[in-house]
Amino acid sequence: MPPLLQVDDLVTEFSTGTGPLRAVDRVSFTVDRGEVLGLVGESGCGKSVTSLSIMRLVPPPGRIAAGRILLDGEDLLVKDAEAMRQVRGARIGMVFQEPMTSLNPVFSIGDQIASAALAHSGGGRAAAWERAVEMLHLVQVPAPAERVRDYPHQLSGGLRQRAMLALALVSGPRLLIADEPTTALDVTIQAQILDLLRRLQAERGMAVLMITHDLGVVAELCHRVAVIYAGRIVELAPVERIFARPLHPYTRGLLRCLPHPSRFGQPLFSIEGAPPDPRRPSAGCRFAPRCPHAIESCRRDEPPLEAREPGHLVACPVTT
Amino acid sequence: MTPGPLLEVQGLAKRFEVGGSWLGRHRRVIRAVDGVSFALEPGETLGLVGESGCGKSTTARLILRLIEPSAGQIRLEGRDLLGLPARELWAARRRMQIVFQDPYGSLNPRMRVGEIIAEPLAIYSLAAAADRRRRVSELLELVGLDPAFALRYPHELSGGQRQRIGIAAALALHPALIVADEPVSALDVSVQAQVLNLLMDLRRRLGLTYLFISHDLHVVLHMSDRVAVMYLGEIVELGPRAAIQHAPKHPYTRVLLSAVPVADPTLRRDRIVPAGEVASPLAMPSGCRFHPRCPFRHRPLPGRSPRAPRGRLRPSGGLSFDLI
Repeated sequence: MPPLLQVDDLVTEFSTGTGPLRAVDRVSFTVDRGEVLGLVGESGCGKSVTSLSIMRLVPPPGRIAAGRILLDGEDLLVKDAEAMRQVRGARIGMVFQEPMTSLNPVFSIGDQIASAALAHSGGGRAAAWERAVEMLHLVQVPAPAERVRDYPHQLSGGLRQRAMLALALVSGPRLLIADEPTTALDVTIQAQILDLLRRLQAERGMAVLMITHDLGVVAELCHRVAVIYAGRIVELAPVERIFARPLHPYTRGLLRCLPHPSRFGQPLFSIEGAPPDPRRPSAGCRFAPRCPHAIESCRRDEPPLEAREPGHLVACPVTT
Repeated sequence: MTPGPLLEVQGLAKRFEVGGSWLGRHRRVIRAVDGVSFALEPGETLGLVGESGCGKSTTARLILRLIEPSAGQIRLEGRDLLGLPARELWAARRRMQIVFQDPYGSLNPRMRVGEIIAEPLAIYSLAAAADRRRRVSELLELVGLDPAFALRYPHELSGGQRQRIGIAAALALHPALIVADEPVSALDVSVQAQVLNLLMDLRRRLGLTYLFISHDLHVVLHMSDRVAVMYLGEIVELGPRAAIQHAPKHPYTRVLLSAVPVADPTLRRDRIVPAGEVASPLAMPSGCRFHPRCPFRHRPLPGRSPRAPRGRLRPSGGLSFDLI
């Protein structure tokens, strides 16, 4: 059986006045049924563009320049717009950092969830409305029978995120793409939403592609992690492994530069410099200019992402 | 004579009036900061942590008198800032400076970096033009930037570089107290680490005192000698870092500690997740403000509101507290 989602050598480019800018550069990974894969990296690394590419929602002047995206073995890149809309409605659910980007401000959340339910499973309007209330109950919105009539602006950030989750899940998708779903929330509300996501994921056996900058969120929720730097995956491994034995110098740096309960007050490890300018691609490993372990060949040849151990891939020939 | 605290805040409060007609009917009051007291010893870092709307940034602005308090006392180096006439307040402000969260919004885009850093020197007529240039170079080196940055504009800089410029400008007048309001919240983690290290280094080298404000409990614990936890306008717990980290007393502190995702899958633990969301400051809960969400609360008897906690916060560190 093929994996639920398979991304092969995805390239997404944005055309600029000075030529194409590669936001995502030959990215490959798979997501299995029921698996939570984290896509982690800092601003501008290409993690969100990767998720938008999978949904074929890259805004112009961006375009998918190469690669394959297979959902259940079916290539999404050859589908026409209508077929793709069907995929997004029924087979891939989406939640974003800012719920107002996907909730329509002029309809009540009940209207929006009910019309998605109607489009997906048919039945009458009354049944769809019932379904909307059920979905709000499922995502633990208090007093769902009343809140279902609320408009998005009447809800707090946490409740809006729950409403968006209800909307994303009403069609029972096998894959949920969650792009920084808790980043704008306060930490106690984030904890509630992470608990909810974990519970729903386990109960429904749903796969989740979790896009985040927060390694804490990764540690709490993900089974496997792909670390992205400057448009490339530099390391991909099971979550316990990436935290216990990170191999790529960038992953190591990311983990060590966070304040940690066992080292509060001690100087933090810091990665000097800044990510490269994607408008000026250079030869070799993209992390080499900031890397304490870089050797001559790192600046010349781009290291391929290779399995170091079964299931643990890393794009660095130097570290062991 | 032993020197007193650098900063002493007593019963600080800020009420905002909202809504209502111009005659004042139906006007409602938000108590954004409601009776906050603490003291800061010279050379110490006090962290102020809490979620959005808890009043931590308002507290910062009140201390600098960027907004006027509704009640309370603020003493800087023994002088009562609220009683000071404008001229003396202006002089006292040299001693305290603020670093803001947004290095994009807080630097004037039309000024070169050198002018931004020299502006406080010019305002206080502290140095002749040539000396100012030298001081700007000094300050840039102090924050780890090449003096050549003086000729650049803010838009040419990365977020981390801008935040360094904000810090350099804050240091221009040799302040004793730096109020850092979410100074690393807009930065990526790798850059965040650079700026946190810089702040710690500067504190040591210049003997600075920090009031360090952040929503990120781990960042606050990392930076601070003592930590004050705020909820809905009040400090609910204040204590040394180790006590807050290892033996938190207030249920909200426990909840906050437990809610932070830790980047370590071996530390996955049972979380104490609070019920519901923060109450509106327009409808402040009776009794303890955290009680509607508190996992440890006693159920009040019918018709009686839960008691407010009987604990008393002592101004200089120790905490005594009874659970409700």
